Amino acid sequence: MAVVVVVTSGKGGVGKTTTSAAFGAGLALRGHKTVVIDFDVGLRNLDLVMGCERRVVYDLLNVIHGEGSLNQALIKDKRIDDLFILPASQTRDKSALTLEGVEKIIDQLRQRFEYIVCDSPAGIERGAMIAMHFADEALVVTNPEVSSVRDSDRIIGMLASKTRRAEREEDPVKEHLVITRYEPERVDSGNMLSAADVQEILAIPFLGVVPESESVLIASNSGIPVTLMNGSDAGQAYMDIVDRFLGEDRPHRFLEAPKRGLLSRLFGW
Amino acid sequence: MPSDRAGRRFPRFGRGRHAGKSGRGSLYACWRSEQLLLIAALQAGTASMEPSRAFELKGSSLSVMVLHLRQPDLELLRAQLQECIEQAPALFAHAPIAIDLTTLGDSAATLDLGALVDTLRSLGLTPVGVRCTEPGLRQQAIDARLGVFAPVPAEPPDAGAQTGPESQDGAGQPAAARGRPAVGSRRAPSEQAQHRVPLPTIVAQHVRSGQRVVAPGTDLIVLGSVSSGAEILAGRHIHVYGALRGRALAGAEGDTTARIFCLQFNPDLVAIAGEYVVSEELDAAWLGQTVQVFLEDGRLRVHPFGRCVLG
Repeated sequence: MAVVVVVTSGKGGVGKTTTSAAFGAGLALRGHKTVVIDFDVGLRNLDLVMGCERRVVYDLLNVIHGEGSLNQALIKDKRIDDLFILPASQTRDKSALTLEGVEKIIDQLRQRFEYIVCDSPAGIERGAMIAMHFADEALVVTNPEVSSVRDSDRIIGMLASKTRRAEREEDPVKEHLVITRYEPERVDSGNMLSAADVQEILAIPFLGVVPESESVLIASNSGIPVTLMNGSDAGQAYMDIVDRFLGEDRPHRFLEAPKRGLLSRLFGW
Repeated sequence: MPSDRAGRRFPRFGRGRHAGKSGRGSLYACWRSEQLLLIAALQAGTASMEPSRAFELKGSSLSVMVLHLRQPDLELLRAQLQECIEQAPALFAHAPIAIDLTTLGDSAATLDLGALVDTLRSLGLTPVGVRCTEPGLRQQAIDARLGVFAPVPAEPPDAGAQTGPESQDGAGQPAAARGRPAVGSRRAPSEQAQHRVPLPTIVAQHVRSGQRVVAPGTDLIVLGSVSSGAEILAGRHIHVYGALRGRALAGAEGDTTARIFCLQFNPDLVAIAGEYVVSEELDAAWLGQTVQVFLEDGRLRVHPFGRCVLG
C-alpha cells in the first residue's frame, strides 16, 4: 500500500525542498520505490535541487490537463534506480492546479510507487492545501525560531482539519517533526530555540534535527540530494530521519555542540 | 532557572499589539459578531427594540431552597425545621422556599397545604411555589396564591420500575432489586435539573495557531495546549490542562465572575468580561506557572495555585 507523505512547513525558506529531495532519495536508497512531486507551481525548485532541470519536458499540470502522459512527465533519477521526480510547471498559473486532477495522478502513482513525497509550496494558500490534501503522513519542517514554529503550528492544525483524511473522518494524518538548520552552539548561547522547546510547543512526534551545514548549500547548487553526498553531516542526519521514519531505532545525533579540544580552542582550529 | 531562561529566550514570543484600553470595546464587538444569532434569539420577544417599554422578560435559573416533604405531619415538621433554622438563622430569614410534594406519595391527599404555608411563614420563610402532581393539591396551591412548578419530567419506564419506595411499582419489589439502580434513579431528577445548566465545552486536542474555539454561555475545557496565535472564548470559565500560549477570553458575554485556569501560563492575551492584559504587561514571575486569572475590583489578578503553592 503506497504512502503519501507531504513535506510542509507554512513558512518559506526553512528547507522543505531540500528535505523533500533528501528524504525521497533516502527512501529510494533504502530500496523503496519513491516519487517526489513538486507542488510549487510557478516557483519550481525541486528539479534544480535534484539535478534534473535539463530533462523536464512535461510537468504536473501537463498531466492534469491531458497534454502529456504520466510516464512522459516522470523523470527517473540517474543515480538511484528507485527514485523518480514529477516536476511542477514554472510557467502556468497556480489556479490551473485542481484537486480532482491531483487526485487522479496520485491514484495512478499509488499503483506504481511505495512512497509518494509531496513537496508543498510555502504559505497556506491553495497550492499548499492541495499538496497536503491526500497525505497519509506529514513531515513538518521547522526552523528553531519562533516565527517558523508558529507557522508550523498553524499547518499542523490544518493537517488535522483540512485534509482528505480529516474530511472522511479516517485516521488522522500522521505528523512528524523535522527541525532543520539547527545550531547547537547558538542554542547553548541562548540565541536559538532548543529542539526540546520546539517539541514542547508543537507536541508532535519528533523525527530528528538536521544541523545547519555548508554541505546543504553545496548539494543544492550542484543538484545532488544531500543524502547522496558522502561525508555530509546533514546527509547523515537525513538518513537517520529516513530510518526513523521507516521504524528503525536510531540514536539522536547533532543535538549537542561538538566538544572542542584544548588545542582547537587555543588556536581556533 | 528554567522559567527564567525561557522568559529570556522568547523575548518576542506571543506579544500581541493592541491599541490602548479602547480594546475593551473591540473585544466585545468581536464576540458579538460571532454570537449575533444567539443574541437575536435571546432578545426575540423582549423590549429591546422600544426604549419606552416598562419591562423585559427574561428566562433565568435561580438557586432556591426546596423543601421536600416526606410526611404530612406538620407538628413534626415545625419542630425539626425550627431546630434546623436555629443553626443558621441568617440563611433562612425571609428566604424564598419552594415546596416539593411529589415525595409525599399517597399521603399527599391528607395534607392541608394552607396549614403548611402558615407553618412555614410563622418560621420566617417565604413559600413561593409548589411542585406537585395531584390535581387537588394543585388547586390548593392556586388558592393559597402560590406558584405551581411543572412536575419533574417523567422518568423512562424501565427506570421508573426501579424507583424508590414512593413509586407504586417499586414498593412491591424485593429490596435486593432496588439496590444500586434505585439509588441511581432517585438521583435522576437532580441530574435532569443539572442538564438544564449548559454543559461545559470540552476540546480534547491542542488548539493550534490560527484556530478559534468559541463556547458561548458555557465553561470551556481544553485538554491540550493553546498555541500562540490561537484564540479561545467562553461565556464562563476557561480551563486549560496544558500550556496557555494563545489568547484566552473568559466571561466573554460580560460575566465578571468568570476565571481562567491553566497549568502553564504564557499567554498572548488574557481577558475576563472584556478586561484584558497583553503578554507584555504580565509579570515575568507568573510565566510558566500554574495560575488562575480573575477579576477583582475591576482589575485582572493572576494568582499561582496548585503545585506551585505546594511546592
